[in-house]
Parts: sequence; C-alpha cells; structure tokens
Amino acid sequence: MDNAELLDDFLTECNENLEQIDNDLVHLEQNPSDLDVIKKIFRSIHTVKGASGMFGLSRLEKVAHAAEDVLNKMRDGGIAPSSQNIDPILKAVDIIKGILAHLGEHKEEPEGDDSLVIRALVAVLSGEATNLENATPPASSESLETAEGASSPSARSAAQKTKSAPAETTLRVHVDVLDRLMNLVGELVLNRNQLVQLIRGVDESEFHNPINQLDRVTSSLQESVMKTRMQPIGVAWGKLPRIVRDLSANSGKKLNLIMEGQDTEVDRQILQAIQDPLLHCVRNSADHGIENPQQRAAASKNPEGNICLRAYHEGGLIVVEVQDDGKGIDAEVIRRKAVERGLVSSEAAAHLAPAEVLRFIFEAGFSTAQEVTEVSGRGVGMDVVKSNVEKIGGNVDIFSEVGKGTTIRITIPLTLAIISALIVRVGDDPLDVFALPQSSVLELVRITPDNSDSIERVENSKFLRLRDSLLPLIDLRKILELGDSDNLSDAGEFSIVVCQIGDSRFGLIAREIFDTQEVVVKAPGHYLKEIQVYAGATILGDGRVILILDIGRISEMGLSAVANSTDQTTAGADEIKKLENSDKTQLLLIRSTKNNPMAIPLALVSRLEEFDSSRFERADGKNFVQYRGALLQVLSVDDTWMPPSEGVVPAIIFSDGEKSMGLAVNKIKDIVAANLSVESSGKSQGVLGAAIVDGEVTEVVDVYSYLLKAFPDWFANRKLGATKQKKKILLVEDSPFFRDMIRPVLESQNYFVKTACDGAEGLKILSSDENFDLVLTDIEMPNKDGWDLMRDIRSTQRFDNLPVVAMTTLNDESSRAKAVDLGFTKYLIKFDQDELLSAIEEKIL
Amino acid sequence: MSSLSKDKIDSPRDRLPSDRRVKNLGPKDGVERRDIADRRTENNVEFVTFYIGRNLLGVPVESVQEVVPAAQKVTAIPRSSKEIKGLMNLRGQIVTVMNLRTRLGIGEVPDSKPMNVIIRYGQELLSLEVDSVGDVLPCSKSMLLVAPPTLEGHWKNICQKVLQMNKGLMLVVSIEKIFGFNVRNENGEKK
Repeated sequence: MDNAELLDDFLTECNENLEQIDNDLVHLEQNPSDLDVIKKIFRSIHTVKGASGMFGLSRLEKVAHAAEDVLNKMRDGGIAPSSQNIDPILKAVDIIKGILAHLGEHKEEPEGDDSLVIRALVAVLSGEATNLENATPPASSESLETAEGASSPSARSAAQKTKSAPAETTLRVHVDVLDRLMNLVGELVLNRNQLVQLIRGVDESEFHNPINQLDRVTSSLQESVMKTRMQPIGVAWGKLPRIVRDLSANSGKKLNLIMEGQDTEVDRQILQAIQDPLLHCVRNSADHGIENPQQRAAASKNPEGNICLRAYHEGGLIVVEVQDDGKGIDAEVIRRKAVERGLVSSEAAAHLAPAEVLRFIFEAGFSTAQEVTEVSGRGVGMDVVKSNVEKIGGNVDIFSEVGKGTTIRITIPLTLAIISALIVRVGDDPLDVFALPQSSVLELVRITPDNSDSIERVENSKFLRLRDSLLPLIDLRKILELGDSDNLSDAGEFSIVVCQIGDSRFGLIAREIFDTQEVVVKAPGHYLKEIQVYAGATILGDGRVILILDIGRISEMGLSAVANSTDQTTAGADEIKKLENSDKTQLLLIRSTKNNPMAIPLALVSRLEEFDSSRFERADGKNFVQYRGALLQVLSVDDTWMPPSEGVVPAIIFSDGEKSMGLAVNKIKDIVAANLSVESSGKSQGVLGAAIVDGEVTEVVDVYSYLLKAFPDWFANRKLGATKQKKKILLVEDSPFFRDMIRPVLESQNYFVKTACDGAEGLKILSSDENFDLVLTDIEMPNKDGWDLMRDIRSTQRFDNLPVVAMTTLNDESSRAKAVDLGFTKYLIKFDQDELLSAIEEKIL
Repeated sequence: MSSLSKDKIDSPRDRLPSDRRVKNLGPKDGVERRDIADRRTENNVEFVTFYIGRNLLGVPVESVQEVVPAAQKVTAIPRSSKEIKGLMNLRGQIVTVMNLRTRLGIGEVPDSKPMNVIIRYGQELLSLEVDSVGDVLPCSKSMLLVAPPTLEGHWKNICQKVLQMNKGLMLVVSIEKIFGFNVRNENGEKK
C-alpha cells in the first residue's frame, strides 16, 4: 500500500469520525454528564492528531492537538462541557474538515492561519472562556455571542441513536462495485430463466437438480445484492443536528430537532437525491417557519420551536415529513404574491382553495421571506426541492395552518425498495396470482372440509373462528371482482391469510398460497393508483408481472362492504378514516330484540348461530335450545322476550370454559371498527357504555352481566365464605374497556376494587395510605408501564408482602421471565376469568 | 428504417390491413428517435403513425420510445376499466397496456397480430395496442387543423387535431386524453 492509498484511507476514516463528532458534541451539550461521549470525541480527535503527525500535516496536527487538550481536560472533569467551551471545539472541527477536504483534492495541506481558534482553545483550557469573543475572527463572532446569550441552545439530536451504529461488522465497498454486481446479477437471472425454460417439459433430465439449485441460488443472490444498496434514511439526516444547532445559535431562536424513523430503509440513489431537498426544508423551517422566542411567547407557544423529521413507509411509498410548529404560511399572502407575479389572474386566484394556493410556493423564484437572510434566502427555493424530488419520481406537498406550523411532505416511490411478499392465488384461473406485503400478515390458516365449520356466516359476511375469537373475512376474489364466490364450498380447500392493520385483525380468503419472496416494488402507475387496491407491481423471477395488493385499502373496502355499503369514498373521508383507524375496537353491530342498535366487542364473541324458532324450549320462564349436545340458555335484552312462532332467530354465543349462553337478537348487522368510549356512570343494566358508530351513539352490551344472569352461581364455588372483611384490590389498567369488564367480576366476588388508569396513578393511590391486599396490573400502559410500576413497588419496603399480579396480552417467554425477575406474584394472560379469580383467591389469603 | 418514406402514406383508406408495411417494423427496427431527430425543426413535427381498422392515427414521435409486437404475457388488472389490457414486462420495466380498439369502442379482430407503441409519459411507460404501425410522418405545424366537430364520440374525445393529406386524414392522438391524465378538472372533480 503506497502513501497515497494510506492517505485516502486516513481521510475516509477521519471524515466518518468527524461526521459523528458534530452530533456527539451537540449531544454532549445537552447531556454534559455523558462521559462516554466525551471519551469517544476525544478518541476521534486523537486519531486525527496521531495520523496527521505521521503524514507530516503540521497545520492539522496543531489544531487537533489544541482541541484534544481541551477534550482531555473535559474528560477529566476540569472543564465543563458548556456551550461556550464546546463552541471552539466545533470551530476546530470545522477547520479540520476544511483541511481534510483540501487534502482529498490536492493531496497537500492548504495554507492558513488557525491561531485564533487555537488561542480560543487555549483560553478554554486555562479557564478564561470569557476571552473567547476577542479570540474569534470577527466574521463568526456573532454566532458565538448568540450562542452564549441563549443559555441552552438546544438542538435535540439523534446523536443518541446514531452513536450506536454498528461499526465492527461493516465493510466499506465502493458503490461502483455494487452497481456492477447488480448488473451482473441481472444478466445471471436472464440466463437462469433460459435454462429453466429449457428443461421445462422435459420429464427425465439429469439437469433438473443442478438447474433447480442454480435457480434458488440465483434468486437469493439477486435479493442479497439488491439489499446491499439499501441504507437507513438516517444516513441522509446525519448533518442536520449540527446544522440546526448552528442555526439556533445564529438566529437566537431556540430549536429542537426531533427525528423519527431513521431506520426506514431506502435505496442508495433515492437517499442521495433527497439529501439536499431535506436540508433545504429544514433550513426553511428554522429560518422562516419558527418564530423567535419573543414572538412565540407572545403567541403563548413554547419558546422552543420544534422541527420534526419523520420517515415511514406508506402504501408502497416512503414518506418523509419535515414538520415545524412555527408561524405557518398565510395563504392570503401567497395568493397576493402569486397574482403580483402574474402566476395566476386575480379572478382565478380568488377561486383557489387555500391548499391549492400554497402550491405556488413551488413555483420558481417564489419566496415569502420578508427579507433575504443568510440561511435560506439565496433565491433558491422550494421549486428546486420540488424538481429534485420529482426527478426521482417523488412528490412534494405542503400543509400549513397559520399560527400552528407547516408540514412539507415528500413522498418518494419505492421504485427500488424491496419488500417481503406472500404470493397467493386469488381466483380459479392459475393466472390470478397476487402479492401481499408480508409485514401485515400474522398467520395462515388452511381450510379443508375437515375444519370448514370454523367458518361462520352472517347474512353475506363470513367470519373465521380462530382460538375463540371471530375474525371478519374478506374474500379477495370478490374485492378483485374475479367472480362471485359466495359459495365457499365450491372452492374445496382454501386458505385464509390472517392480517393486522392497526388494531384491526381480519382474514383474507385466497385459493392457494405459494411462497414468500422478496420482491422489488415498482411504484403503481397512474392506472393502478386510480384503482386503489394496489400498492404497486413487481416482476417475479420468471419475468411475470404481478400486482401487489394494498392490504390497508382492501380491509377498508372489505370491512365496509360487509356493512350496508353507505358509499362515501371521497378521498378526504378515506384519509380521515385511515388516521382514526389506529385506536379502534372491532364491534359486532346488532339490533336487539327491542330493535335497538347495539354493539358487542367482537373479541368476546365465540360463535354466531341461527336457531329455528321450533328448537326453542321453555323451562322455568327461560328459553333454551339444544346446542352441541347440551342445553343452551338463550337470553335477550328484553326479559319478556319470547321466540317467534316461526322463522329463525339469530343468536350470539358467548362461551367461557365449559359454560355457554346465547343472546338472541333481531338481526346481526355488521362488523365495524369504532372508538369505544365506555362511561361507567349512568348506564343502564346490561350496558357497558357507548361507542360512536358512524357518528351515532350505540350502546355496548355488557356481556358479563348476561353471563351472570344465565349462571347466577357462576362464581359460587369461589365465594369467600367466612371471610367477612372485604379485601382490597387495586386494578391498574389503561383500557377503559377491560377496566369496566374486570371490575364487576371482582366486585361480584366481594372484593373492594379501586381502579387506576396507568402505572403512575396506581403508584399514587398505593402511596396514599390505603392498605391494599393485592395489585392487579396491566403491563403495557402509557406514562408508567407495569414493569416500571413493579420496580417501584418492589423498591418500597412497605410493599414487601404485597402480591402483584400481572395481567397482559404479552404471551412470550422473555416477558414471563422478566415478570419473574421483577418479582410479580403471578403472570396471567388476558383474559381468563376463572384463572384470574383463582389466582387472586390463592394469593390474597 | 428503409420504409420511412413520406409519400407512401397518403391514402390510408385505400389500403387493406394485409398491405401494410408494418412487417418492416419488427421489434428490432422499431422507430428510434435519434435517427429522425435531425429532421425535426421548430416548425415541423413528426408523428409515428398507426392504424385502427382503416383509420390512420399518429402520436408525436418524441413521446414514443419504441414499437414492439404485442406481448404474449400481459398481466390483467382486476377492477381496471376494460380498455386496460394489463401490465407487461418490457426488459424489466413495467408497462401499462391499453387496447386502443376497446378504448375507441371498436370490437377486436380475431387472429390479428397487434403491435404495441410504447409511450413514455413522465415517469411512466404506457403502451397503445394498435392493429399495425405505419411510418414516421413529418409535417409542418401549419398543416395541423383543429379536429372537425363532426368527428364521432370516442374519436372526438382523444383527437384534438388532424393532419390533412392528399387523400384522407391522420388523427393526432392526444396522449393526455387517451390515457385519461388530468382527468380532474380545476375544481378537483372527476370528469
């Protein structure tokens, strides 16, 4: 290795280290006690110094040496990592970067005088930080002054996350090599396809095995090579914390930079292409968006402005948002300017909606800044952002609300993004093959004539009974209009792909399931977008084009098609639906025997049945039906209800262990996802609370009150007998639904129950002097989760003997082990009532 | 490219499908832009012409990427409108294929060997499936006339201009209109 190569390697390493240093220093400023970061920065600078001595780079060595001295003392605690003390280090880092850049191009050190920075560093070292102003060149003195003025210029950075980048397992490869690999693999794939074609139709051939092997290896090779080109988007954000920090210092504004979704992987080319547009958007937000602290205070906003960078996948696209909570953009100002500049006639402008008016910002030379500033007023504007993003097939949108802030949303197609997809056949035609993004798929269920009774039907809707829950089914064939398939028995064997989008779980009916493949998503063209059920298309290894289904859209269509199809699919309504979907519970909508609309949480329903009225028997004033070899009591919301003389009665079956009961209804209508808002006060009997369904208040059935009605002796075998003293239980549970479901169960057992909606509230109640006999807590909760609550309880001596029972949906080994570690008395899975009560009984006595 | 003569294409109505010189335009000698770029000037435009039945149509040459025989494997798109034949794989790129006959409300011809005119529109590749392909036809912009109002329904919707020739007309197909781009008018409503 000759000297030039050595120098190249040295430069690459330095540049990587320095990239990190900016973030580390900003991080240090906010977390002055983080000794590890100081050590790390020290090491990076030390490496620069050491190597520069080796190459005889005296200028570099001097600057690095001075910075190293300061860091050394800072590491030993001699100097506080305050912003005054860090500023000269950042300056030194800038100089080092400048020298390195020059070195990269000219292979020699540039001329220059660094005495000012070195003097500033020496001043810090000797504790004379106040001399800094004089020691700094005039051009940059302003930034230093403001940095001092703002006591905590806080650019909250992703330094914390990026610092843990895995370094030891990576290898640097030139991009040209990757591109060449990609091309070669492409050719190999074509060759493979030809070979596979050659042996197709030949029954006996010695080539079968080797070619099949070649086929598999080629596919894996292709996938692997494609993956090498993916990088987390955080790479493009690396420079931003430092830039925001400097902008913060320069402008006297207080800015926080928040980053979300750094791990979102994008293709290398896309990453490079959006780097500059993103930088520009962030600068814009900092410069024009966020007001200065006085203005913010006057508008009663937090004086610290937030800029949030967010990246996520959405429907086969990558969305990157730059959001600020600044002053927003006044559409009227834009409207006026657009007319002034002759971009639009005043009549036409008057008719434009504010959202359309905002799009003028993307016209060339359109700037709304009142004055040109150093930061983002150089005549380059959003038009450049837009054209750069459009070059890679992306889209830029702007949303703004005066006084609230502005969001720039950049949508980039996943033209080269790779997803793992499940390949399924939907229709009877062997060509009806589609891909489903694996990320939404939970499990696959095969339906054969043997287990076909796990499919339930309500009118035209079908449900899958899966481990005591009912999943609504969506027939892909129907959604894709590939034939009418109401009669599933025609299909013989088929498969159900169980999916989850947000909180809603459902099954997709497919005729046949092939395999999982990593596929390259090609963005949906104009036509596919219009149809909406497709996330894109892809080309399989054999050259076939197949469509990738958008499971989110299909669930919306499928689950609302189950309904009485009140079609209100305007784009806007759909958006809102999507947003709201996150916090919803699936409800079975019924008409009670009083013909009231009511809802039942689907999770509690075991089966749906229809009983012929002739099957009803009456005994003791109650209605029974012979059902699965036992007598099933059928209740109704109306105590005086009688089965009709003829026809069928739809009934909902609830089961709990051995016990079952039916609830007769007039009609089973639909399954919807809705926000449950359970209010415990003023509810009528048998009603848990209310939910808003399609804008209407619908009562939610209290299933357990009916279970109790059917089996008054439900809990008899567990009565507390002689113990007259009421035991006190603290129930910590964030879901109002579960809270209101469990509470009556406990109270029916003569326990005194107090509830808390999260760990923090639970702890507060515990700390006040009530003596509880047992704590029953959920694990996943906001504010303070069950783990933290447990830690707090176990660290308090007073609670040493307090039994704490966890009740959660986390059913994995590591959670169980953690529960044992933390000292939970019992770990229960939601929600087996018998298990719960016996556990409580066992622990409380 | 031997067939790129300008004077042979003046009487499309007289020609039967079997006469067409489309055979000369195989996949390998498809229309390529660079060969003809020098013939275009500011006042001249050139059209790639093709036939639907006896009708001669054309699209601006600069929008055409290439011409290929209709692909064997086209993946149908469920729920799409019927004129969209589906998606095809053109050397690793996905092309949306539209059957121009269906688009114009004309029935298919059995046993035909249609051609695909591949059109680049923005980031997208689109294909018009036509009966056969003619020539590259240069003309002066001044020769283009506004389409006569008597043109029938489907045709009127996709043609805004016509080129009058010695015998007969060439209809200039608007790519935006035929593929339904900008289907939303200024009020954001769908047409």
